[in-house]
Amino acid sequence: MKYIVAAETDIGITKKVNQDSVCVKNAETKQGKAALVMVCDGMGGLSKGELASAEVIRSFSDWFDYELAYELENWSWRDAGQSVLNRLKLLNSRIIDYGRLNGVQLGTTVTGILAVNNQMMTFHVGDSRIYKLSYHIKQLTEDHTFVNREVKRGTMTAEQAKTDPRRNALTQCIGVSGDITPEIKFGTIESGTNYLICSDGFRHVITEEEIFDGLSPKRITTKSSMQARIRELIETVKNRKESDNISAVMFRAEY
Amino acid sequence: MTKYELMVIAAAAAAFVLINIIMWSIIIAKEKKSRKNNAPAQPAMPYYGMPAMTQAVPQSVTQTRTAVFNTRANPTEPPQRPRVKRSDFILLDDIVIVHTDERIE
Repeated sequence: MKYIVAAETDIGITKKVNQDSVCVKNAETKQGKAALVMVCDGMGGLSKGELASAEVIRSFSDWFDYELAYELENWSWRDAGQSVLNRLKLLNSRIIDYGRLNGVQLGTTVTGILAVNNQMMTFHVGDSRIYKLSYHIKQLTEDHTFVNREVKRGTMTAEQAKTDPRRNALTQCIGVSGDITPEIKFGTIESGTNYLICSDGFRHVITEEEIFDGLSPKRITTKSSMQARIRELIETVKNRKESDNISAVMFRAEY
Repeated sequence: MTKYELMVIAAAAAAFVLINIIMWSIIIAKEKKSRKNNAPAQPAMPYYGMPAMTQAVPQSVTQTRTAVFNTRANPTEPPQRPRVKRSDFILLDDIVIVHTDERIE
């Protein structure tokens, strides 16, 4: 079994700071393979969004580097899920406290995949997304946005949501919402399937069809091709005048 | 309240307790079994509905389950192990991109 991973992030064409943070880790362990791939999108419009996203990424990165090997010795996905939930809640409290103490508002989305051998867990707060690309493209995460909530309630159509001025308003994110309800799911990794995690800046101005065409698992099978194709898509997004930071990471398992 | 009504309430309460005992016995038994079988190589454990999680339809992850998590409790800082990388844990890819040196302590 092998994991293939890649990551790209770009400041974009208008922002002065890249508030996104990304993490891609792939390890060989005594118990087999393990990987962590994540994107955190520091909140646009909020000062110090890059600090919030960096804090979350560093916390998970340190956990992967120093804790995971011990936890794998007696691994339980249930415990792992509870641990991720606790970590996210702690980070949420810590960032809120920092904001209060320093008189700043900062926040971040967090979306990631933790893989151990052929099993995976996804965790998600905000409007970054996980896509699964196999014979077609599917979104694995729900957007925690105002417009998505209204569409689900039936008070807004999907078309209206695309142009609604509140389309970027989040219903929850790390560091802003007093209480968060992270979306955590478990599943089996499909061999030869590509998983994409991207910030909203990556997907605003390109369609899901374009993403699938660009990152199809039949053609994109190596680290270098992943890296190159993500970069190509980022350049396309910039050419189409996307104003946000742009980040994407990819993960693929073959067994 | 009549004696009959009290008996109905008591019976309902007893049934509720019994169902909970049975349900949790099954959960614990399955968890123990799964742990014995070296969990990393096993399919994801059976999980049971957590409202916040089941709202998001897990249609895209095969064999997806949701777990019972304690979302109410205030999480405490996990115990810190020595920050030493183990020799049997080999990082093949290690990319961390952040855009600030500032830390929240």
